[in-house]
Amino acid sequence: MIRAALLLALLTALPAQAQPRVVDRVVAVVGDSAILLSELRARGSLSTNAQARELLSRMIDEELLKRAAARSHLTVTSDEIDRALGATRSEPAARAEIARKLLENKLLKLRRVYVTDKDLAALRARLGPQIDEATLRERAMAERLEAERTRYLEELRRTTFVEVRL
Amino acid sequence: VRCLLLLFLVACGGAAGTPRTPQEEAACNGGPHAPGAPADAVVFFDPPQAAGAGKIARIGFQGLATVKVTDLRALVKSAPGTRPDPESIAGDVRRLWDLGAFEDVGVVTEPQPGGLDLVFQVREAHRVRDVFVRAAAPPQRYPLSRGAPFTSPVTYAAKSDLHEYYADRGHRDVEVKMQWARAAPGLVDVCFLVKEGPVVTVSKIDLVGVSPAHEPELRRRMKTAAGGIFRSQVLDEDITRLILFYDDKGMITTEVRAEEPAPRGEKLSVRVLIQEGPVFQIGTVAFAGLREEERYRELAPRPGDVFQRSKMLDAVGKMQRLHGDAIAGQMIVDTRASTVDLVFRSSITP
Repeated sequence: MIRAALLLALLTALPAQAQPRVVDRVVAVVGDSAILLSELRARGSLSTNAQARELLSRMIDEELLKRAAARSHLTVTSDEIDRALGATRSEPAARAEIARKLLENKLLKLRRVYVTDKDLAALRARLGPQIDEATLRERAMAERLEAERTRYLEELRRTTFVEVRL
Repeated sequence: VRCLLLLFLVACGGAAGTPRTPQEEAACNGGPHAPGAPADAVVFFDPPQAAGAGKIARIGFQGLATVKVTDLRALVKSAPGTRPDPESIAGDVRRLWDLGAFEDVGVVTEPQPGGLDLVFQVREAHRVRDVFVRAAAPPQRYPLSRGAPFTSPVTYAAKSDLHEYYADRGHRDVEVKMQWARAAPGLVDVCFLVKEGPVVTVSKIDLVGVSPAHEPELRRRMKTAAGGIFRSQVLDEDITRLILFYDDKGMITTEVRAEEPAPRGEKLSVRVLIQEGPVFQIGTVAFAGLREEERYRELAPRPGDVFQRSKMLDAVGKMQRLHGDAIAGQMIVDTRASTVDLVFRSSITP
């Protein structure tokens, strides 16, 4: 009994073993590019594994589109970002987000994307008759672009090396 | 005499092939794979500094086998005596990754009596020592070069290149498999096993559903030709060319798709299924989110004109040159009235 108590006292008296703390690492590879844990953390909350996976999947999509844009020699200039933001100074994160959107728009514009009256009618039925025409068209185009983006990403994922290391 | 002739032919056939070395055999049979002893020791740039709690005392690497730690010093901007800065460390990790020498890069901090150890944990990529391609007709250029890093993205790209090479030569059903063997510490021999399959040629092309007036022009635009080699990528490009033809005739709802050809065989017939739609005219032309002086009306197509995609893109291009890239053209297609309403707007919608 005394021995056991002594052992316990000894164990608790020892300083806790200092554990290495991961500061950063590669969490995904897209083609030959890496996505880092620090970049993932900077983009949002990672409180659950599902959240981390979802966010990482979004970042992989962005990287795939960025690479496709580079292959098509598409770029976004600082002036374009300024014009889109309506200001010359803003948060780097906001500028990066706008740059991504501009690049994606340019990329998707190369594909056949248009809205039909059938899309508008289906959307009006979904959203209700109170929605104004301009908003309706805007939403319909956004949905079409999103569908095209999804199709394009499926193509890109089939033809690009993607590895998740979460 | 027949026997002698046969023997001669067999002997010549054997002599013509390059004898396979044990090295090639090992690589193409996929073994041995066992990696060398894991390099667990941490190698530090310098002895530790008395940095103080929470500050970097020394910087090191774990996992180095052939890369010298001194060669990495210039890539690491984090410095002893400073607090670990996540942004700076991310930059270090990025530079190490971009070197292309590592399969994996991570970084940890370990508390020590005099401060923190900042340790980069890397997994060195093997290097390619030799490359073999086993194929009936080996490619003119091998997809991997000697000394290349043997990483998953690199080998994936090499296999894709090889696949494309044979597909481009008509081997539609080509299969490419990669094997490798550890050749020496840090070095691997890589072997690509290619089953080319037959060269597939096009026996005929059917354009199903096309109007007689359009057929000659569509056939003229197609690069896939009867009697020629079948290339699926060229057929994909043909479909795009046909869609563009219809888009410029105002027939923007026309559906064009290639029927998936039969899975195997040396000849195949290409069937392009076409559902021609009506001719669309320009309905209204509007400008949104643009000031009066930014509305380049003289460049835009006019209501009542037959819609032509190339003209619309040309107009957008001219406006972009005048205004900057932030103008986009949007189409609203009315399938009942067969009209296209055009909206020229700022490409970023708030």
